[in-house]
Amino acid sequence: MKTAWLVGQKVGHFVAVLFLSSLVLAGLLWFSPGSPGKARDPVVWDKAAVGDRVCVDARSCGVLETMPTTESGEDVPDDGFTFVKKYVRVDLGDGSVQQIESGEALIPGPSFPRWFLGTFWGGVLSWDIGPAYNGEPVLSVVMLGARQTMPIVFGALVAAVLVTLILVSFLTWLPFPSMRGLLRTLLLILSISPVFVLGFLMTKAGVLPHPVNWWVAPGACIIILFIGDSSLGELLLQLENEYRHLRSRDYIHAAGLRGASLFKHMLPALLMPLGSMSAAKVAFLLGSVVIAENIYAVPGLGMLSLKAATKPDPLLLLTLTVFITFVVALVSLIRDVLEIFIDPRIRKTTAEGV
Amino acid sequence: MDPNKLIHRDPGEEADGVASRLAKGAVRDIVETILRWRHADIRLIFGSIVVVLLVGARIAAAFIDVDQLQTYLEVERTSGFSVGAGFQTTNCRAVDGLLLGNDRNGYALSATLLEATQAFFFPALMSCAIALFFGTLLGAVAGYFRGGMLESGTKLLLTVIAAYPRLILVIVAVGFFVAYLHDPGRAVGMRLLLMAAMLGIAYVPVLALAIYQKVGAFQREQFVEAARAHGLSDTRILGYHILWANCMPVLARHFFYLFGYFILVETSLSYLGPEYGVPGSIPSWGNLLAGCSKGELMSAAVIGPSVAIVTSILGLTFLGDAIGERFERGRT
Repeated sequence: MKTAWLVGQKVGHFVAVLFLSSLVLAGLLWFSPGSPGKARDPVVWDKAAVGDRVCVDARSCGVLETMPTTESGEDVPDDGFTFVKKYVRVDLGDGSVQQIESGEALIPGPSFPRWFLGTFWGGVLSWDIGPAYNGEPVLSVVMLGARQTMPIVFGALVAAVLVTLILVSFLTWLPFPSMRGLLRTLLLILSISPVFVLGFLMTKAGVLPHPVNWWVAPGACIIILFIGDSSLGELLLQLENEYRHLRSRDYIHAAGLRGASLFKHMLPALLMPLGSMSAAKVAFLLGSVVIAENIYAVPGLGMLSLKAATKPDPLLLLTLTVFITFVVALVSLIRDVLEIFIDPRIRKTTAEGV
Repeated sequence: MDPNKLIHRDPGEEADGVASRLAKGAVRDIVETILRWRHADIRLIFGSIVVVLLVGARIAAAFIDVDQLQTYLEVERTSGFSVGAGFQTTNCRAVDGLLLGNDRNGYALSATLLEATQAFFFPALMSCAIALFFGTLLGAVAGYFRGGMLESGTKLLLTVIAAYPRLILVIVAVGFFVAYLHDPGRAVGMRLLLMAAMLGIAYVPVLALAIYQKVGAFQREQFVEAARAHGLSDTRILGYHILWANCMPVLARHFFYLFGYFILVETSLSYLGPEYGVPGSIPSWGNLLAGCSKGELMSAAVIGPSVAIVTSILGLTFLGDAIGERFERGRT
């Protein structure tokens, strides 16, 4: 029961974070030049009536006072040959009445709650938000990009964790302390290089092929992602710290004295901190993958986000970012739920009300 | 010491003795100073040198004149039918008279490397100022007034901000606000401003968490209880006794981390192209590297910007680590 309560809390936290993060982004979009709340579509006069709400420009709206008439007020039938300018009067509500050409009147955009909950989240749940810049449905474009990016990101994460475990084992085995420090410093210097510098230099030096084929590009992205932008260096330092703490514990010391395998006893205890570090790294890798994908022309979420930013296609950019925050929040949720099931201290602490 | 020498002192001998004692003392002082440097924190020294060089480069960039020196090399060209003479630009190469050769636009690379500090220096400072202000405010308030809605609300807000990858937030801001600007000059200014603001905001959760933990730990210290017993206000205790007196090393550490991270982001986006970072007409280490991407690996045009980028980020990170280890209370 208490476990279910804890898991429910974490799921609720996940939903709250996802909703609030999408709300903040949608709010940013609402006040931007590409706001979906702006009036864009012209009024269809067959369906309009006096008293309807119409807009004189993208932001200013009011109540329609008159249907389209000529300037003199005569009723001139439209025979399809003679061009007749017609005007309407709109009461803007602040005491002013504006007269504009009937062709310039626009249908008001949706309100923010209606757009955010109805069009956006309703569209996500019904899998139809709208079209992207290339005419394809936005969600299909995002999913296509995700199919390229997620293997790269999680591949880089797994590679970083495995390489870090090997490096930590090697560094602790190394019998010369000065060599250990030197090697650690060299690894940190290599890891601190930005992803694009690493990719550029490795391609120039012939370590990575150029030009890359479509099946080599993801591998090249994984290599520069798991090393560069301090990805490997930070994991190495954190895991070494955890290892040192664990190594000083009594039960590990006792196992060592008895001749038992330290690896067998330490690895389970290292898995939870490793899981936490990895979950934190996912957000970081999803940012760095933008650069890596653009260097090797992988058509994933990274390249898509830059295209959406420059086109501009704000709806695609919003959907893409919400998807990325969904992935980050989901990984955190999985980590928290696993912690609840694996670590009995969490359930016990909650039971005691501490 | 021989007591007779105290009574019967030879002035000449005494002068020699003082001189030799002084000389020995000087030698001892020099040796001790050199030996003391063995224990010096190399990271602190390296980081400080990097910071001094960056500030010096930024100041120098305001005064240097960039010499445009485009040189051409006569080459033989063949169309398959006839052989003719043509000219090939020698940009991104070593050139006589220029220290590091020239960049892809023909400007002296040494000068453009200095000028490129303009692309990130003040925006990075702005980014750090935003992160320090909001991060300290939120972290201090949540850490001091624990157990209420303020703490829960602040933590939820920080979790929401932390859910966005930092670079994605920059791209979102550029896409929402800059892409509609048709004036390129205004677009570049707006882009750098948004980059600085968004990176600063994206870094707030990291700093706020660090301040939150520190303030929470210091709350239980006796000096805080004594200050409360003396009737000092919460604002004074939090602002002066906890933050100013004890948390400045934390702020300094994160200032250098974020400065280095801004350099990384700005150079990465500039490398990708003028639509994402600074345009080609404004030098940046990123676009200098991209502009000479066809050059040789060991040429100055490739090594120069790469070394500048890596050294700056490394130096700032090392300096932040060293300040944290040396000056922060309770940090090992």
